[in-house]
Amino acid sequence: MRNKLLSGVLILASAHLWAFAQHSAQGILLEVNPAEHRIVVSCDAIPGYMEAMTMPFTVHGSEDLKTFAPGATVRFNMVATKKEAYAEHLQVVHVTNFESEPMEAGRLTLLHKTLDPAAAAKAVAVGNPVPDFALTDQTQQITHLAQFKGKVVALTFTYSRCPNPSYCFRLSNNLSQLERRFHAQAGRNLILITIVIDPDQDRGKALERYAGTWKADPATWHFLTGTIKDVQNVAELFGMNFWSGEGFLTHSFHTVVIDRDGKLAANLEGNQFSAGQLGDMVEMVLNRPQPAASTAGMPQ
Amino acid sequence: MPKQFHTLFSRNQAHMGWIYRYTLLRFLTLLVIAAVSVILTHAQTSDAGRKIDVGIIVTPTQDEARTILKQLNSGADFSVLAKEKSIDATASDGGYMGNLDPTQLRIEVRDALHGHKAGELTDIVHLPSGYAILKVLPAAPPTSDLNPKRISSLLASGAIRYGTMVAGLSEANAVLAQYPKPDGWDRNLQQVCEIRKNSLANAKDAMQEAMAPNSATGARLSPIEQIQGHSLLGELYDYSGEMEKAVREWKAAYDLAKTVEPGFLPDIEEALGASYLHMSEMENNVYRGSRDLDIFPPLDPKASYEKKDESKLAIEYFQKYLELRPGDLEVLWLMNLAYMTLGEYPDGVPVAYRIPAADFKSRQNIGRFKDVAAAVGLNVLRDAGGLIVDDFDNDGLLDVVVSSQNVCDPIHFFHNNGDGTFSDRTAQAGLENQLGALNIIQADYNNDGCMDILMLRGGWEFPQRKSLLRNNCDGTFTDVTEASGLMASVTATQAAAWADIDNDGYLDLFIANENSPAQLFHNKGDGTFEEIGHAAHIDQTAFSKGAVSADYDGDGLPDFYVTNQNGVNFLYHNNGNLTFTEVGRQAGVQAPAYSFAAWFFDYDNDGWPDLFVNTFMTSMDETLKTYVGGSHNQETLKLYRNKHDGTFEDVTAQVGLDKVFMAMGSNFGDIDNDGYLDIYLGSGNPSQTALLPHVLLRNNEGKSFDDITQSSGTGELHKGHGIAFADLSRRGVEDIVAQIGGAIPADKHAMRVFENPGTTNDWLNVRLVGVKSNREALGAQIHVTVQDANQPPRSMYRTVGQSSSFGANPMEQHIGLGPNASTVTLDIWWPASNTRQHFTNVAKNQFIEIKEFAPSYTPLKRQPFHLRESAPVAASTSQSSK
Repeated sequence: MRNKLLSGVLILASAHLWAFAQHSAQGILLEVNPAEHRIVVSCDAIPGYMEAMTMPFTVHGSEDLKTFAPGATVRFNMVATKKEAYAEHLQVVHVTNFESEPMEAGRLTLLHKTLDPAAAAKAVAVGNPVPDFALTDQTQQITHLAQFKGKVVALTFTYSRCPNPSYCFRLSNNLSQLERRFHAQAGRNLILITIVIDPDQDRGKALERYAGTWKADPATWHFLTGTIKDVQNVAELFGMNFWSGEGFLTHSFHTVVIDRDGKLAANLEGNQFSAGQLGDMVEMVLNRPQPAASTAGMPQ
Repeated sequence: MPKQFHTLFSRNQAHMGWIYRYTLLRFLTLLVIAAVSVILTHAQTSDAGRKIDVGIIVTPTQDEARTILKQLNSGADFSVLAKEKSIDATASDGGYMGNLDPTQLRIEVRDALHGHKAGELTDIVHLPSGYAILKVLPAAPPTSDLNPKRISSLLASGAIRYGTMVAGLSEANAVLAQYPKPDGWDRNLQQVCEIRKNSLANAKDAMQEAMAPNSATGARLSPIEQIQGHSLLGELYDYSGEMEKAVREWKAAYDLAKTVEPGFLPDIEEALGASYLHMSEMENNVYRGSRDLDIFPPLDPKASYEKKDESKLAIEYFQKYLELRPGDLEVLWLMNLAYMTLGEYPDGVPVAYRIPAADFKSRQNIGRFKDVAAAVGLNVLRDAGGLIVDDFDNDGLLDVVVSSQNVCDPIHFFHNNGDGTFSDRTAQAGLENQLGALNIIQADYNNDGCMDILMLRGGWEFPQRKSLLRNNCDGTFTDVTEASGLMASVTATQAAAWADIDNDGYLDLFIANENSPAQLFHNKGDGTFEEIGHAAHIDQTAFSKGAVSADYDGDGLPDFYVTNQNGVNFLYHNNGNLTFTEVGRQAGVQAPAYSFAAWFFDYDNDGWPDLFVNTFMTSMDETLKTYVGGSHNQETLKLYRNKHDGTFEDVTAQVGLDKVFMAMGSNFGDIDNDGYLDIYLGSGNPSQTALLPHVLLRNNEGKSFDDITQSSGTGELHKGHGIAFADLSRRGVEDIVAQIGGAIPADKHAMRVFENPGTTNDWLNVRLVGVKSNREALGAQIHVTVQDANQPPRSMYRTVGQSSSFGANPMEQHIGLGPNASTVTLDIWWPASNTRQHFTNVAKNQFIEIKEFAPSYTPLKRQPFHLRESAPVAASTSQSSK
């Protein structure tokens, strides 16, 4: 369904543009190469011009690409000439959803950062190792992040009473689609983790039931929870926050990808990216060359 | 109230979202709006008002959708495939979304369904959540339990829209949650107040510091964070009612957003409009005095605020908002209200924005009620809170007790002086340190003949202690929470009901909590309670908002009904051996999925308790459709008629109540003494945008209900909480006492006492006194039969203690007898002793007392008087938590 990494030039050529063309484009940044000033982007579709696809670009302009991290939503001018496709005016889109709840979560995140800078400073930067943590899964097993070293981990946050399907349901559904797309590798090379942020409600049998609604294989897809404090500690690692109020939880949206070495490969904020774009991100990380040492001796 | 719901969907997100994603060019936006309008108009002309049963299957990929469509076309069962394959929340219901008006759905879905007949399938529709196939179902499929997820689906599809939240409540609660707290703080009311105040002040200072351009942090905030920071401060100042600061911050956010990220603009425009309107109300003192300026429809359309500048600014921002979103009902409505404050509603509102006054006109008129609260001395400013009207000192006069959710506000005890005025005796009663409590209810738990008070705290917020206040029968109260055993657990609750579950003559206490197990406190008769919820099988965990009791099946044992948010309601049948069985589904009373205040009452006088349940999904859009037209996609309130066989029939539509009101506190009583119980609903939600008239519904002889808000002049626009119907002046008519005020300190409001204009119908006021039964006679049933010369006999039924779960009517039973009552007969049934009393030829229009087992009744001397109507004084501010 979704294109693998394709040459942008070829695609554009096979479209209908031989001459110079310019489009406002947006997508998820998959790879950044500051030295060569190149990026790879899983682009949104541009109606009437191109379908959603993954494309490499040279970046024209003076942006310091070191400040751009994989997983970010970026907006840029896509310029296609006869010779090449390049990106210019590259910028990160910090807010992708202007609905009231995500906006409230944005305000509350800033508040949290201001009132408790130490907690906010625990957020792991892309490229850095993610500290180990332990939570309990849907089969009541204590599960450590470290036990998945050597595999790629895709992780998001949710809770079962979450009333809006465009939020939690959609984020969990993204993992479900990863499971389909990478079915052959799931469990072996790819682990899915949903961290459940409402342990008062979603624990024990309720957690098992919730995992059951996703038909999750416990060997592949772990639904993890713990005490509120435990869950908060894990959420802080990824800049994720949640607040209880009026019967529900307001929460920021984060989906992260952790590489085989246990380093944070990407942190996707919001709910506007597609499962396909998340899949492209995971594929990129799965396909990274594996240093022989890091996988040696890992159980399969 | 489910904040997530009113914050879920910024309006027009469905059509607007992608525009911002791909281009910021304003002209293109306008083009798209025009195109959408054309499509809307087209769809509405042919589909408007048509309600259809819709099913949906959503798949993650287009290929899967194609396969399923093929299977469906070759005859596969839609609901089976939905259950197996759909990734939508409705899968467990076979894909059933509900009975909907398709014009209200998001545009892709609406277009796909356009012109489809029952049984027909749509093509594949691309939605943000996947690839959908919809079907117009020939009929609603049978579903199992009420599924709240079905409503989630409506949210995702855009069928229910929510506006901007301008309250700062989430922000204030977040700073409280983050603030350090010592152990046991939640059992210390003064400490809770201090922490609330300090946490707010600390957060405002810290944010101001972080935002200051010369601060180390301020310099590091990105432009987006600066917009968020100003908005955050705007919300926090909105919360505490510092409106000048609030608009200053919102304006700073607005100016930045214009250049940095226009996606923020719509919400900020609405927030600015709402904040200016709120500022205008505060400056013109409409929250404090007994003013008619915040009653809708206006009592005098020409009456206006004295200071008008802020209202005009509010109109400017609402207008900016509406330029790009002309159909937005919520902001249109706020615009009309802003014109009302200028004395220009309806005629001065530009035609394009005008909501006609005719939409609110009553068909019936029983006279205009007059607010006398300030004149009689019931003049305290309150946040959201509870209300009890009852005789606390046994002088035959009804006193008034009000609480406030604000953790720094003490409860207030007002003594009825019997001369048309009330005195605040909070200090003499020893209640000054009883702070907070969203809800309060009364009971004589120790059978000493003096009414005690229970304060319920933490509703919507965080677990806190309760207070049980024993009435010492000398005008004072003693806090016996610890001694009685009610301090053992700390929960968040606003829902409790007293009932003698084992007919031992002592009232037991059922408490339904938020996110923790419900509790049943068995009264041991020695002033202490034992918690038996688990053993009694009544300890389910839910987010409960209301609890009421009645013997719905006539077996002599009181049962409980619990209303919940985001889940089914519970009906607990009393098995008679200190255990209960939940029978909500069998009895047919699980809905609404988002419920709030509820009560048992016999609306049709057939001798069996019926059930009224308010819905609480707080979409302004859905509520306003009740007036301006358009069909509802949100659940309506529910009226369930008791079928006398342990089950109920949903008669909501039959009696004309299939409407959406944003009801909070509410209650019932007989305002015209026709013998049938009428209803008054408080309205609103925490947001400053949620200004909606309260609603007075007149019961037409148990057959239908008529909205008489406009003709009665009772459409208070501010947030309504505890409500009681009570004969305050012993004139034989019930006045309406209403605790007004919202969930944030900025929304503190004076009370309302709507004095009854009077009626020529007859009445009887009955006070029962239990001897073997509990002393206040809770649960005892009264049957009045009235025989006229030319009419068949008429019956009225009342049960002592029946009241709304949010607002406490007095235990005495005021019973309207209709016109020209001649022979009046009384029958009393005492379930605890299973004894009956029969009295014939009872004189009408009097107060009487009936003791259990007594052969005769005692007339009570009650001197009628008039409530003072003049000498208004401004309400005093109780402590506020700025």
